Amino acid sequence: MREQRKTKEEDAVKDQPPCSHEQKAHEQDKISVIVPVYKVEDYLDICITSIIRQTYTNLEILLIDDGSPDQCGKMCDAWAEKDTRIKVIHKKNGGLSSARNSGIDASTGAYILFVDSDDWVDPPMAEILHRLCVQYKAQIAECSYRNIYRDKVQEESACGAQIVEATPVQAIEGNLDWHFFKPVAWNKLYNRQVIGDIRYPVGKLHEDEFTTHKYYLAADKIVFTDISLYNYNHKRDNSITASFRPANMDSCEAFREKMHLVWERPDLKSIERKMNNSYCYVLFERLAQSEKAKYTGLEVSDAVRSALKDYSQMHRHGIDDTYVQCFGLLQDQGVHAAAKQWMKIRGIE
Amino acid sequence: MGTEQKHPKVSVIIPVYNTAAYLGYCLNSVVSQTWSDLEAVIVNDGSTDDSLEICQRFAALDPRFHIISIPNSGVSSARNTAIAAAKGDYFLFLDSDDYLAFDALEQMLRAEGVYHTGLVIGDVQLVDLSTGEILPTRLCADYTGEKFLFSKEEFASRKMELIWHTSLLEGVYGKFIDARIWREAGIHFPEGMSLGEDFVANMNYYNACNGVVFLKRTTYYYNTIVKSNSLTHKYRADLFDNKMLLMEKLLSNLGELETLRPYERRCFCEYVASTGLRCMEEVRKENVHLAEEDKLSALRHMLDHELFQRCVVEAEYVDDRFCAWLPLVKAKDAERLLNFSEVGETTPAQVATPSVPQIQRRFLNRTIGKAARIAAGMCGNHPLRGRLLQFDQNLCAVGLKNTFRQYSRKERRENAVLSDQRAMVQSLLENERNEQIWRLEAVRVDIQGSLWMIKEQQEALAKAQAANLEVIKEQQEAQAKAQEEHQKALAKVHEADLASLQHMILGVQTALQESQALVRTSALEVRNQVYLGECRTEEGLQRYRINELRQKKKVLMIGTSEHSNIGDAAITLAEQYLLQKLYPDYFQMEFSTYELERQYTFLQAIMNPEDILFIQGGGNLGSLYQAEEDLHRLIITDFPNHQVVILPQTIYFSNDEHGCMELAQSEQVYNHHPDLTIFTRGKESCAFAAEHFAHARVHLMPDTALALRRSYPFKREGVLLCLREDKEGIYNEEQRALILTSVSELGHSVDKVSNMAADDIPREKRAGVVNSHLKCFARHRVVVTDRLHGVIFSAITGTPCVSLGMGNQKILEFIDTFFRDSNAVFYIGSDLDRLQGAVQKALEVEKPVFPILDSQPLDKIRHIVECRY
Repeated sequence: MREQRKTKEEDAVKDQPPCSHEQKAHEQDKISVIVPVYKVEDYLDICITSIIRQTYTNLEILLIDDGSPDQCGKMCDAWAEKDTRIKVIHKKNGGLSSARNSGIDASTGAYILFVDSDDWVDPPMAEILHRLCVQYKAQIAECSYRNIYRDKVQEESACGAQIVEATPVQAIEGNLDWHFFKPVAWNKLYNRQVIGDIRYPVGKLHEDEFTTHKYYLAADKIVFTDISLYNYNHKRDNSITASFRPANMDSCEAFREKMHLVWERPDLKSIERKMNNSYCYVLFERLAQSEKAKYTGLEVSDAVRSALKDYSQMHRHGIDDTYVQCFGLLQDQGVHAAAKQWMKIRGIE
Repeated sequence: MGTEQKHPKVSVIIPVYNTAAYLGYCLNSVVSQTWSDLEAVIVNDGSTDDSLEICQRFAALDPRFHIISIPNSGVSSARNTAIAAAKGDYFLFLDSDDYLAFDALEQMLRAEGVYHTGLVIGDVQLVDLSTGEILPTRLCADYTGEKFLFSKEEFASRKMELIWHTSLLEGVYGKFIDARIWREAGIHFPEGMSLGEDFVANMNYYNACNGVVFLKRTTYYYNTIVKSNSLTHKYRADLFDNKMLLMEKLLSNLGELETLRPYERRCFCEYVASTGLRCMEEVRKENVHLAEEDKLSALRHMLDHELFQRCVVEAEYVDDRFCAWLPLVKAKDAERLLNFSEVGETTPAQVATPSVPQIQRRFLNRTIGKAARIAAGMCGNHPLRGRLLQFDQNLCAVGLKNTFRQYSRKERRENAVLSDQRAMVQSLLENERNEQIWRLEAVRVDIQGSLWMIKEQQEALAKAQAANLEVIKEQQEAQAKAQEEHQKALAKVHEADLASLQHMILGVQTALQESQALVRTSALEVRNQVYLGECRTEEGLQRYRINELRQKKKVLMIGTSEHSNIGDAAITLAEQYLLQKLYPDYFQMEFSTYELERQYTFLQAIMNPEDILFIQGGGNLGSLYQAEEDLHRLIITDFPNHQVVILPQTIYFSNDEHGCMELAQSEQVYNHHPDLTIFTRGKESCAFAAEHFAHARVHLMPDTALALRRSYPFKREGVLLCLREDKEGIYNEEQRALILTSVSELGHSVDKVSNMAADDIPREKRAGVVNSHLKCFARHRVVVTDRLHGVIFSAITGTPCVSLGMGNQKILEFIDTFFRDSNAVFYIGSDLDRLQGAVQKALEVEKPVFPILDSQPLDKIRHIVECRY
């Protein structure tokens, strides 16, 4: 339906004077860069500078001030005065997902790039990803990234500059294998078409695990290059990722949803077993973490209940013996025993 | 980058040979540079692995990458090929298994843009890319202390010292180089040399460039894994000969050993001795498969080398592990050298790692050295400074210098030592308590130095008080003289004019008041100095100054004058008085042009958010005085959050290409500062500034020296000539003689005075020199001058003045702007025919009037600055 409307529009364009046609082409190549902003005073300037210094200049930069209680909102407004490509949206605090969603709704570009406001991008990122999209007729182009720690900088991959073309299934498989394709939101340039009505789940942690595969499935082709162009900042880690938080159990839900989708779709048959194993891995990993943190809240029991419900079907579709063993313990003796066994298998105390 | 660039700013030169495993990291670090106006010139030197393919993949994704493939012919040839194809204004050399810091180019360009040395060098961090680990070793320019900029002359005279102490000058990797200088000097990497080919090319370039800037931050990551397997670090029979050949080349570049400065000579000898001793170490290694006789003959061959022997004899310092070898080397005893490890108590493996006490000693030296350096920085121009610096240098010579160097060399050679080093670092941490004791020792040394300084300060105080007494005495004498005259006048009261008598008494009274004010201000100065001294002892080292000063809101006078021009000294003195008067609630500090570079980090450390930076006025804004203009730019760039005020200036940018370039740069810098006020001394400068520095606030303001105005009780007699006699003066000797005779013809006595003092005017002498100079003006009836400050000094001493023309428009512009309505300033340009008439007219002036002085515009400076309009 959308395809048809587009062709009609293009036909109409042909009758118009050439200058307007050029304008249209300009609009068609515009990239909307969406930056959710929340309590990042120390990093915001670096992030925005890195975006306005992009060698690809046809940008619309959307700073979404997600009700940040500090000076970030004012900083955004000041930036908007310096560069006309910057637009600021001030909204009530609603979390990362809701900020990204508002950005998507307000954007007008033909492409969308997400940048988190404590990270920064390298100057040619937009240019290279855009060129990949056009050259390979892909709807999503993805690059590698580097991890910025307090004391060192580490590339996520070998930076061999290979180009990998993939179908949605292959890309999802890449996510599960943690090979080339990554389930994060911010290392990709998305054609607006694949975004469609798909939005990030509001109120959930690990929002990209819920969403990325849906964008992949909406695309015909995904292209990846092993050049790192995005700087993922771990400097704030000690507060969020390193220790266990109840909301981390959300990742079990994300993987479970993904698993159900795989079961439903015949075209994803080939990655069924891998998907099941990945779900189990995440589940037991999280259970072990919650055990270690001595946390026994609703989130944990909910996750266990849903997992047990799915177990027989998982078994039918295929699952590794290690997980069968752990599930046995979970069913018979509960979380403690299963988590202990898992830690033993993984070799952690 | 959207369209391919024809002329990129920087060319990154990357020779590639079989480094597929790490090439991706290398090339990705170029792609990710924050400075994107660049090209990567890759020369694939006949690689047999996947290297070429990786390069091609990058080139396919990034049009800034260019690949040239040549059959394998060595790294020199590859670099030469790359340079021939490079289009950038600058080169940066990058080896294909290393990588760059992501802001390396941006930082280096920034430094080059400010200092124009044509050579920028950052620190080098060692990494192990096979494990991704950052190694504990850095090659860094720490040794140079706070000094980071070396002019061409300094660089030339301290080259060997820098090579030996920093380890950053040998290889070409990581160097940021001006392409034009490189090409004009016709530099090539010599092909067919087995090692050090880049060192030879570097040495040639070091002679051609305009100095060096050390960035003192990491710009380059040196990967040691591959290097330890590469050709340079395997045992080769000809290693020693090749190294010595390189040393001879180095020497021929430096000059004769006999003519080198003693310290340079010592560095060279230590460098050669260490290099040779390391080669001997290689032969002695157990894993070298050589027959005993062959080893012996190799050692004998080395011992017979003339230059090496000579250097060993002269070297005052070698690495600790070589100390025991020295007598054997000097005695040319090859047998005992080879068997030394069996005789000695330590095995080679242990020898390779310095023991903990050695490290402690080095660390101690380093700490004390640093304390000495900081103390030296605090001394200003004090004689103690030289001694402290010497002390530091001596310490460096004995202990510090090889710490870093030794680690790096070792690591490049053998990985095994790595774990030992980690253990070493560990033990260093365990010894933290001892460290504290050393720190205390360092502080003690410093306090001793400070006490010494206090003594000096007290002496200075005593001296200053004596000077004050002298001033008072002089004034009393003048009063006595005046009274004497008064009596004389009384004796002739019937013919004297009563009014003139009263006038005289009035003059004496004002003079007394002025002198009291002068005594007050100099007492204030002395008090400030003593205050600084006291704080030094109470607070110990830098903590005093930095913490204490950071608390205060300050007026900082930047770029004040300590050179021999009395005009500039007067400006500084007047600024001191003026700012003390206008900003009584601020603490005043001055950083002269001479000391700013050395004190720059200190200045940055003490900044309080409320501080105001006042840049010295004068005629130095523009393309005429490059160093001064660079200083303005540096301050304005580096302190965007502080109010910066440029005191009254004449602006002059030459009309040629150079001037336009400089102007563009200054515009860029000045217009980026959010809170900059520029005062100009003339209407044209004012208009110029308003046009080009539109973002700054521009105001008209007379020269600050006018604040020195005061009346003098002296009897006036004769004519004073104040002419420029240096090469900038427009009158030659003949014309000056003509001026002298034509003035003499009028029948008055003629005296001459120069606005240049015989020597530099340090700040403690400033008030004395300027005041006695002004008195000289005040004793004459008319001044004839071709100097701007000749006119100004006449005005503030109330002396009529005849002004001659000058090279640039400075004088005319100034007179036109501020003395148009005076009855006592006569401008005749360069027309000497009008001279007699003008002097005659000046002599006839009864009551000189200078309306600009009465309106006291300078007092409005604070108001203008604070209004920010």
